Amino acid sequence: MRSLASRLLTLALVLASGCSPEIDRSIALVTRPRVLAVQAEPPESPPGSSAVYTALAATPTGVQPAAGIAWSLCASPAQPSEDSPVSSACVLADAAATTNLATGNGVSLVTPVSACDEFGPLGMPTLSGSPATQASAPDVTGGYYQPVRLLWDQALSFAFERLACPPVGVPLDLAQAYRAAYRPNQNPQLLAVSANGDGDGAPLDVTALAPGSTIALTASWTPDSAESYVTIDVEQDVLLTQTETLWLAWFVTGGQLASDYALCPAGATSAANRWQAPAAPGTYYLWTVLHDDRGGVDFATTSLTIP
Amino acid sequence: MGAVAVASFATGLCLAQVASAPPPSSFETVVTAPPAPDGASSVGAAGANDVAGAAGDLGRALENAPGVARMAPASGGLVLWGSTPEESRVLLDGVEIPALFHFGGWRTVVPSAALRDASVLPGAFAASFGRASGGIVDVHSADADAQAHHAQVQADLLDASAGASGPLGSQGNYLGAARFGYLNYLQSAVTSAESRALVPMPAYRDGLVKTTFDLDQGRRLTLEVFAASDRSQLALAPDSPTDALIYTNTRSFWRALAHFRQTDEAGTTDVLVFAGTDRAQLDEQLGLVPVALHSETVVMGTRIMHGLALSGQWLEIGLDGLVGVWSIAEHGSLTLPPREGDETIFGAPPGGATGSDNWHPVLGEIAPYALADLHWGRFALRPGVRVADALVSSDRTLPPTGLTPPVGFSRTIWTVEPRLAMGLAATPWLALDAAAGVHHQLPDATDLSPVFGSPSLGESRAEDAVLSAAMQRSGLALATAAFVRELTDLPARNPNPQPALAQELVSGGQGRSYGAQLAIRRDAAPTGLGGQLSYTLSRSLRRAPGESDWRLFDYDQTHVLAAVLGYRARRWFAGARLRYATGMPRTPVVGAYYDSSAGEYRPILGAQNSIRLPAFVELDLRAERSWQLRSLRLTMSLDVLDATDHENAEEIIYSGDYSHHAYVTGLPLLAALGLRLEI
Repeated sequence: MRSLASRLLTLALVLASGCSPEIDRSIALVTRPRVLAVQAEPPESPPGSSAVYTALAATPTGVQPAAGIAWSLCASPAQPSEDSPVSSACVLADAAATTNLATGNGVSLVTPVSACDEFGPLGMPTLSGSPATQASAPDVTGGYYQPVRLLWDQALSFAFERLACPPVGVPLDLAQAYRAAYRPNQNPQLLAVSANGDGDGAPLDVTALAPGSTIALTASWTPDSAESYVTIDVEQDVLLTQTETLWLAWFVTGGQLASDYALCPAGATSAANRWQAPAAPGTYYLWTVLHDDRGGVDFATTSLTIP
Repeated sequence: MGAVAVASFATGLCLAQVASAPPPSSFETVVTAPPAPDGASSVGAAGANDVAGAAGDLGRALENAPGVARMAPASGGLVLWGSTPEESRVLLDGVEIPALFHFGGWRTVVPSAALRDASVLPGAFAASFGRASGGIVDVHSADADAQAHHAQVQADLLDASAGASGPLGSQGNYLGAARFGYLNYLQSAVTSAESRALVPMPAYRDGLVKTTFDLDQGRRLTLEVFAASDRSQLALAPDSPTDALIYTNTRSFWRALAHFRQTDEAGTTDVLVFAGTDRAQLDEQLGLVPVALHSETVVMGTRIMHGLALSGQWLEIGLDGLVGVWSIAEHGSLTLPPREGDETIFGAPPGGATGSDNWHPVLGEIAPYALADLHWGRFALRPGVRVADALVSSDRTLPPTGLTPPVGFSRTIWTVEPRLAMGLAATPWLALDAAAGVHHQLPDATDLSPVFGSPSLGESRAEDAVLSAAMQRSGLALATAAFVRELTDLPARNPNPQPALAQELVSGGQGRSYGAQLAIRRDAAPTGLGGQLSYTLSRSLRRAPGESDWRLFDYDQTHVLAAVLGYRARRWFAGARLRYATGMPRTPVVGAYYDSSAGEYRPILGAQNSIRLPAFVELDLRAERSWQLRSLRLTMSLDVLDATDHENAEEIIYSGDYSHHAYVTGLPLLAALGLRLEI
């Protein structure tokens, strides 16, 4: 009786809150060519310096070199009314809003010297007598980002290069302490992605997986992938030491993942998932993307074969 | 049968008229407002019981009034003549309160047992009201019976309430009621932790205590305290990095008031003083982006009025003052919570930009006013003027920069608000009216942040005009009105990609609403068939600063129809309500791009508010049966919401890559049983 009452009330409560239709919010299944991640090396750089951008270009048949990726830089930030990290002008590739730079994969791009003005804490210079402009707002890690536009096979993506900008509006000694203590972001490092039996945890031969079986996946990374860094508490004028938050995204060309995403607890160096292999034989691809919340990325590709 | 009654034109006199009404014989009071053609509507406590779907709630019954758009799900107020709930004011016994409804929009913030009537004044209201560029929702508590004690308990699926009233000494009376929402406790008792994490059930409670003393020589003193609190909590298992993880929203307020009235040959004098506090806390964690908005407010105010009847003419002068001392702290996303005009897509991740600020604004206004209600034969002239001196101050003009002492500001804004109405009793059964007025509204204190808003925001301005007619023949009352509203200096997001410092918001937004409304009512008192048909045809537009093109208002609804029908016999009642409303505007998604840093697709938007949700259609039913057992009266009611199980779309939800969409639908068929015991 309690069970029946529970079901009825649960139903009533769900109904009272509105009903959400069945719609697939997951983006983990790769069914067409897509960029899944972009790694910038280094992931944080000062204006005027260069970084090498490598896209993880996935297709249902595996990773592509993606030599046709067109890269450009956004020239101006989004308006306050645009709840987006990218301006609509840059999304639509208005000529004045983007700067075309390169084609290919693994390209080197120079961050504009005005990036900390346009996208950072400095704000745009004003004519004498004009009111000061409001600088761009930082993210939760205190970071500012130059949007990088990628167009590949008619699919639009954006990457974000973290800008190493000087602190603004803080006392000189605090600014000096910040410069001395701050370590620019480094990309996290994935160590391995392993496949094991779901029940016994025994290592599996990924070239001979049983159709329909459930496979335990484990991704591991280096302990120093989650770096410590300093930020400035602008209300208290003090330095704060924080540790990066890592999160992991999984993508696959077939089968069913138990989870698409994992927010990694502090101190963790691995994350587990499960994959329900499809019944049809073939080679399937699994991509694991490790993010840190300052814009660093690493990724790995694993092929899974069902004979 | 009193679904929603067209109300008195002389809205400025509401306070006086209501307070001087004779005490009712029980909790239930039927408001029999004279038909008047100014677009205003009112509903009484008994009338609310006769509205299917309202479950006896006065505020919910007001949704059926002409000029009122259908509420968005879970919104906290009414949309009147193209104005947001935040642009309208809610008054309880003359005292401003922060919201009309509890979270979820199911209940008014005052126990139904303690309410007598509520009126909605969509615009062009009299000079005694101000501080609203939208409309006024004017709610009045019940008057206790000075002759006998009464008690009432009531329970249904949502909550339980109890109330009592009666004489207090030889010259006084008392009224008290309290309500306790327990849906969240029922949920905890019988559902799993998983379902509790997924389904946000608002927890609410409220109460009102009032004593009135009839002093000698026509003097009356009322002391009253009321309070309400809300809490809503949600925790989602994330499917993506930017899904909501945590959502906690709490709100509470209380007010204490003293109202002195003296009535004699020299006229009527009212002195109302009140004080209270508001507290609101919103905490969200959307993936890695936090949202935290905490505010505490101390509110004090007064309303003083002296009215004089001279040879059938009414002259009134008054003073309306309010001051709020705020303490606000905000941290997190610059674009959340969203405001009218934001191009938000349901389920889309927010931009990553964040800020942090704490500021302490003081907003106040002292507004003397004068109005008159003059009659010459069949012609009436009702001029009025309100002169407001507003204070806007805060302790920050610029974003916080370390230990640098903040520099505050303080400025006063003088406004003159003329109001004029004219009436003609063309025939004994036909009245024609015209009214116009200018209204101003102070900026919202939460918009005065130099990080999230702008300290330089000024007052927004509304100009309303209404032409109307009312007729009453053979028990049938008809009121129709055509209205237009122009809004200027509305706060809006700064269109500049790199706005001037502390200018995240600017005062350049504009609005325009126009339309016509119709209400036809037939009363069933005390028994028989009664009902009301309300229809509003309107268009509401907004324009961002610097834009040349108008867009649809976020809540624009071209057609809003409510048909309420009921049959009351001696012991039972059966009624139905049919509602139709044009779907609210939404911004289409025309594509998507992949944000490789967030690991999410983000939508590419088409023209703002250029598509609509499907139309809303709902049929609600209500049946009620009462039994008299000596001095006890037991009433059992059954409300069936959405009796046809029509799936009404309340929101568009998209697939993760925005290639497909579906609709989130609202309440399907839901039955709620209620019991009420009265002594």
